[in-house]
Amino acid sequence: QDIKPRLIRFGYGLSENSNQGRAVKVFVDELSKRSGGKLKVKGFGDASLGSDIQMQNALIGGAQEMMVGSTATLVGIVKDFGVYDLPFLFNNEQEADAVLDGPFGQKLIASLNDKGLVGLVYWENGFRNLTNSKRPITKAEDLGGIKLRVMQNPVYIDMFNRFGANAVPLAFSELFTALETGTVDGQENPVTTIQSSKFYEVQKYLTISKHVYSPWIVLASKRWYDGLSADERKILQEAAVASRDFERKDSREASTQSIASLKEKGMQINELSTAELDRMRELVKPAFDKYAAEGGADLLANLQAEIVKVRK
Amino acid sequence: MKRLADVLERLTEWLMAAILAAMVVLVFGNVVLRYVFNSGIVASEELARLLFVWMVFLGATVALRGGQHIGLEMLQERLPPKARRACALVSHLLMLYAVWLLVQGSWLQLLIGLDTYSTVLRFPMAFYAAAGFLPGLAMACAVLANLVKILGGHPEARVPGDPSAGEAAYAE
Amino acid sequence: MTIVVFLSSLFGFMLLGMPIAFALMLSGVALMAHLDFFDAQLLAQNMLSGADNFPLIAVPFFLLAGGLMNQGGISRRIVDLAVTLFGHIRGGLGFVAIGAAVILASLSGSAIADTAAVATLLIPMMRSNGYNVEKSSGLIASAGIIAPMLPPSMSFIIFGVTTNVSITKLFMAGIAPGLMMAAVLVATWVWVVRREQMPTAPRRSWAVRGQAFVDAFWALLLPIIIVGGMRGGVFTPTEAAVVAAVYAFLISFFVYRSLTLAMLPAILIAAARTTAVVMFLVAAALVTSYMITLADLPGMLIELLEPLLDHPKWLMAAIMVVLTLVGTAMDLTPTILILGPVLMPLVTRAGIDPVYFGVMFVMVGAVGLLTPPVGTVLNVVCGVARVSMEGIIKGVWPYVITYTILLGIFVIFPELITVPAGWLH
Ligand code: NA
Ligand code: NA
Repeated sequence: QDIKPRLIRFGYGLSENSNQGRAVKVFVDELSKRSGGKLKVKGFGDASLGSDIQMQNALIGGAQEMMVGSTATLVGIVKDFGVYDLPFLFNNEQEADAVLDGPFGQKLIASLNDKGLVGLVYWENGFRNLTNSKRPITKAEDLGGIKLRVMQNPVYIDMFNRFGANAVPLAFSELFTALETGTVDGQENPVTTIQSSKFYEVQKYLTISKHVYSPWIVLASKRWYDGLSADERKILQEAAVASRDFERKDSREASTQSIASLKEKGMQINELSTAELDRMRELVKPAFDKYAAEGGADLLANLQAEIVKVRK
Repeated sequence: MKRLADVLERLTEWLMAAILAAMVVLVFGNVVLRYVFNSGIVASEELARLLFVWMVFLGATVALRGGQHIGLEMLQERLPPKARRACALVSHLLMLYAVWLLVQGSWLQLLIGLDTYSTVLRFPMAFYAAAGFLPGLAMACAVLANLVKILGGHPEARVPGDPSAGEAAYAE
Repeated sequence: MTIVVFLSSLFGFMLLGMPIAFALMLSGVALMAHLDFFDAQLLAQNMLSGADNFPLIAVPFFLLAGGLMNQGGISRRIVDLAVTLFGHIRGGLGFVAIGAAVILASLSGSAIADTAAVATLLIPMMRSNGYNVEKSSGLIASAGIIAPMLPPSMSFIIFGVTTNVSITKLFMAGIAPGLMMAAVLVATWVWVVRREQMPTAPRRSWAVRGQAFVDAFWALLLPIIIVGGMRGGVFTPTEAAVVAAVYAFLISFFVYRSLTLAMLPAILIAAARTTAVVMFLVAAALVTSYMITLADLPGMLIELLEPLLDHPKWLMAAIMVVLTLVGTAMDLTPTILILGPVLMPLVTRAGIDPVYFGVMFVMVGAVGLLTPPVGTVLNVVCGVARVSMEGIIKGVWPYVITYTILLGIFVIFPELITVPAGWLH
């Protein structure tokens, strides 16, 4: 096999003992095992190599080899990735897996190649859920008047304003303090983030709304990747797939544990009824129309066809 | 040359003042909108940060020209003038190299940024990298101009440790 | 080996007399070459994202607030109030200086702005009242460094951002030790002037005091607005800085009417220029700290200091000695930027409370602003009071010693900081 000794700098945003960190560890081990110890990965957690966007640029420029980060940050490079931010696309993780690993997800990954990036696999950040300090959210109207911190993304802001919330933009670095002092009343993130950021200390109500599915994506620098042999690429892909399978399983277990632990910490947790979800889906329909009108019509049609296929 | 540079510096200072005022409006505006109207300027953080980066690099260029960056001059003050000049020569060459790397690296990032867009306003991310590239070029000019003065024994040359060296801007 | 490359390049470049920011960039480059990761993009990118940091937007706002308060007559009214309250006591202008510095400290985020204001207003007064100018300058310099300890504080924001510690917690934890510093100053000043012959001003009537209080009322409201607004969820710590700036503008423009629109550009430019100097340093430090992370320097340091990890107090004592020595030659901001990220993993490993450590770090670094050869606060007072460096060193040493003793007490009894911090948070 044609394998050279290489050191790969792999950056990620969360800490070493998060689900992200554990999966990086699996990737490190898998790659080492499959390459006879020649391909060494050094993981850098806690955003110590910079934010997602900074690492992306370093990858494109060839100053760093690999990273895992949010697909939301890729929207600036390939606009199509914004389609994943649309609300209520997937009903469950299995649908998401099938679409992301299927032709639709892979086609999006392939579109990164022109931009100096190589996408290897999708990991799971998770379904985003709502927390707030005011009241349990059982229907859209319950969100009325709640000051909700959302990501700085027009789609999210539009969506929550349609539900009657007051969507306010705020930097994540200020979020805990803002929730603590009541600068904002609520926020939305995957349950693992809600637990690791200790939002349970300052938030009473958790609603399992699953309003958006957030994937992570494992990226390599194209400049660096192009210099790899066919054998090395194959090993890299295999190790990435192994890490993906571990990560999804691990993340889902972690989510279940997080929910249990959040309950134990005193959060009041409720789920949304199917009927209410359907109603909310109807309420945010304009977001889809807007997305389609802004040049995403074909992509959206593709995605929806794919989802229908998966649901059968 | 010097006249032109002085005019540019004055313009840059006015630009910096305008940027700072705009940042006040954006960030304070967001506080008011959130507290009073329960809403916010979506682009506030994105824009304030871009302006901030520009203000920093523009100001750093002005400060470099005025010799106001904080440095340790205690060793230089104790050296004989000739040795002091030699040190200044070496350090200016090294600084030129550092600025060159900044310019070169920002240029590469700028090229990448032409094709990458910000989340809210969707401006090209090259606007950020340009804050390193353009002021970086101006910094190179400032270092080079002083280097030439040092070499030519010009009376206005700034040599670290000289009693006449520019007063450091106060920063703790 | 990596540590040697890092330290020798950094100090070598600094001793050549180049600005610290460039020395940091080049020591980052030296580390890149040493680790075989050379890439100009890493330098540019880290510098750009070092400046692209939302919480640090507070820096120009604090400096702007300080400039507006000094130019707009807010600082003067606070000094006037302090004069009517303490002017009649023996050595009373010294207490005025301490009192004014404490109030200003709770308004502004930087030691420089505070010290400059108090020195400008009080030194001429102390001089004409027959106070020893060297001793007075020493006191004012020492009182000025309380500013970074009391919220709002630029140094705590920079520390919090570089080491990932909650800025709000740092703010709350700084209050008690900041006030203890003021108490220590009072005691030292009493001792310093015990044999001085100095005239005292007549005791002011309560009517005069009342009038001074009314004059200063709007200014005194600011700390309440800042702390209340932060605790009450109206704004975040970062936004507190912009609120302070806007409030200072409104008060001096509409209420005191001592500020004109024509003065604004100069105040804005001054704040922007100082910001650029501070932030360019922050940006350059990120290049070095990126390479320090890649080289795992903190890991090496932990191995080196392994034996001390089980004795947190000895470790703290050792770190304080190192920081005191570093503080003689380096200013507070670069010390935070360079050593904060290196020391933090060590401290957490030893089980020391990161918030307590942050308070100690900023305090010892602030004392460093008073020690020669590089003491920025000394420079400010020298400039304003027209005293020689030797003169002010003579005036400042008693306070440096008592501050150091106070630091020693905090090492032995961390509870003095952690317990009151618990009450406030
Ligand atoms: Na303060
Ligand atoms: Na010092």
